[in-house]
Amino acid sequence: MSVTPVADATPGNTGDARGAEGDRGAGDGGQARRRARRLRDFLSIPQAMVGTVLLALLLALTIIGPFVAPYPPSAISDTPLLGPSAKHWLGTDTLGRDIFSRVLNGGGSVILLPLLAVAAAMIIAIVVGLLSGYLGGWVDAVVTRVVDVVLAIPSYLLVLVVVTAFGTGSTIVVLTVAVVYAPYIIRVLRAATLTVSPLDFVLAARARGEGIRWVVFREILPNIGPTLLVEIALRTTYAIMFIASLSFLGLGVQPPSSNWGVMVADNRLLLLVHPAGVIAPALLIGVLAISINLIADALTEFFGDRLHNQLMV
Amino acid sequence: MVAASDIARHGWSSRRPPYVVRALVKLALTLLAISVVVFGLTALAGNPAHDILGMDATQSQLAAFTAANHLNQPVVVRYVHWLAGVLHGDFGQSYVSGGSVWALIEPRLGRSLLLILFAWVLIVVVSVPAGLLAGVRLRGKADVLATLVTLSIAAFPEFVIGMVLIIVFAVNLKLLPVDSTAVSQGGLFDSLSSYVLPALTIALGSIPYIVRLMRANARDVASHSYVRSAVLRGISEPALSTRYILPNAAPPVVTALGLQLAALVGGVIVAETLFGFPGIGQLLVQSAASRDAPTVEALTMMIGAAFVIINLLSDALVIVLTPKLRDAGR
Repeated sequence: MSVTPVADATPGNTGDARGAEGDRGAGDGGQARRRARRLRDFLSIPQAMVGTVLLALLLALTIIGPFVAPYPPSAISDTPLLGPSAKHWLGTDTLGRDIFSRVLNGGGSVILLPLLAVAAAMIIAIVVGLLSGYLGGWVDAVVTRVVDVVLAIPSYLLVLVVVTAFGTGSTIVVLTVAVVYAPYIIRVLRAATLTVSPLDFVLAARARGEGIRWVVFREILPNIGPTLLVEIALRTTYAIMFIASLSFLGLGVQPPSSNWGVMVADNRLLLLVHPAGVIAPALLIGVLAISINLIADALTEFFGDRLHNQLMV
Repeated sequence: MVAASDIARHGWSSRRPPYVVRALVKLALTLLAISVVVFGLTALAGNPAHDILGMDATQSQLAAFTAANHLNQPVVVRYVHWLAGVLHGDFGQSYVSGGSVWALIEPRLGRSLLLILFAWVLIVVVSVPAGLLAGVRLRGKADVLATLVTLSIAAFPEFVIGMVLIIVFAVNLKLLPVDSTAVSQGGLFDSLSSYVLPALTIALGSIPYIVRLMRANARDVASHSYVRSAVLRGISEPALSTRYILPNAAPPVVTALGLQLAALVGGVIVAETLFGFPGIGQLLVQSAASRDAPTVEALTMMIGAAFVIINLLSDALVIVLTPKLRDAGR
């Protein structure tokens, strides 16, 4: 249900938001057709099509990969450092593990951890950013100050401080990245809320005597949908690169995991003699980032989102 | 021009404290807040004695470690003590080496600063002309090429970019060293070639962003009527770009070049680890992995302070560069 008003409110920008209320009377069949048409319009943007296809291929590889991999990812299957052969398509690594099987198994955490981090950051940011923008006053002042301070510390430093205090590992990295990214999203959503909250349909809801929860989550949230979607796509791209880099640094996902970032770190000293173990996972991380980047780009174009350019994020 | 400077002077002498004073107060408060966040986070985790000494440490060893590092005192006391030390340039003792934190940082600091300087100069020298050219010749060949190249570089994390650079320049062309461990031996000029690939890796992380920003600004400025009238007067393209478009498109790019130092920090950490470059980024990762809180706190405060100060300076530079802001008497 929550998706529907987003799809309706999107032509042009938030100015059309009142149209969403009127359209709600249309039958379910009409809405489904309208949504299908909008999806087709979106996919007619070249970046959207290429990005979606690449992402679908990678998701298929990640989901099917573990089932078709010839060897278990952490099993020592043969002598170390074999070259590519029919038995080991990409050869074996220093410990004799099959690189092809590790690549097939290594996508899950590369994709899942950033998604979890962005989802957690979004939940924090939606609540804090919308309330801060809508309520104004001292709440807004406090939120803005705290956001400014966190943004004054480069993200890598914050994550390193947390790792020093609490140790390495996927859970810590996901939670930290969520907390580090939340202020960036809060800033964007707060700005979006400020543009929507003086509009008539919000004033009407307040005049009807709706509570704050209804106004914020039923009136404002659906109407900043485009900004929200673009923000999710952009943040996911950053999070994929950031968490892969942290895994590469040895601070995120830990060996013997076959995470692509960990694989690059594990095999990089053998780059000269045995490049496949580095090139394959590095390439896949790149393709993943490109695909989501393209989708984010297409979303920005599709919704005519100007807020992100103005805020330089 | 005379009027503008009059207004500016009037603004500076009004009852509101001058811009410089307000900026310095804000700087001090931000640094204080950062110190609270950094120290608070490490204190939140509790006593690190077990993590540092290992699982089989005896009770007396743990007690000795706790006492030696004053970990039995209240957090507030420790914070005040630590902050007083930092203000006097004393960053405390490393948990791991046992020696002073500054002794760990000092030999590495110069190398990292030089590396960052190289990277930053590369960013400015490459992205400003490239972005300007792409923006002025919108949808021309240069623009399409710049857009394609920047989009594809931006899609890869720094460690992948660095890996590609190693494969091309160190392995295939054999032009440059594979790693930068040579930096710690000999003088600066003996090891200059070891700086090239890490600096390039760091720069390529930021170049796409600055090129795109410069392009967007140049495009906006180029749509103004004074630019079109200059074109109609028959001005040459280089003169148009450098005298009409660049000065007006520069301010947001200056801000971004300051902000981009935050991204550079990440680039430095990744590049130093990838190339085995013995700088503060590598020290930071090693210290975080070995849970050496005093070293991480010191480095975070130093880098955080540098970042905040540079942003302040770039803000001031934008005000100097933008007559409109100067006149507002900020």
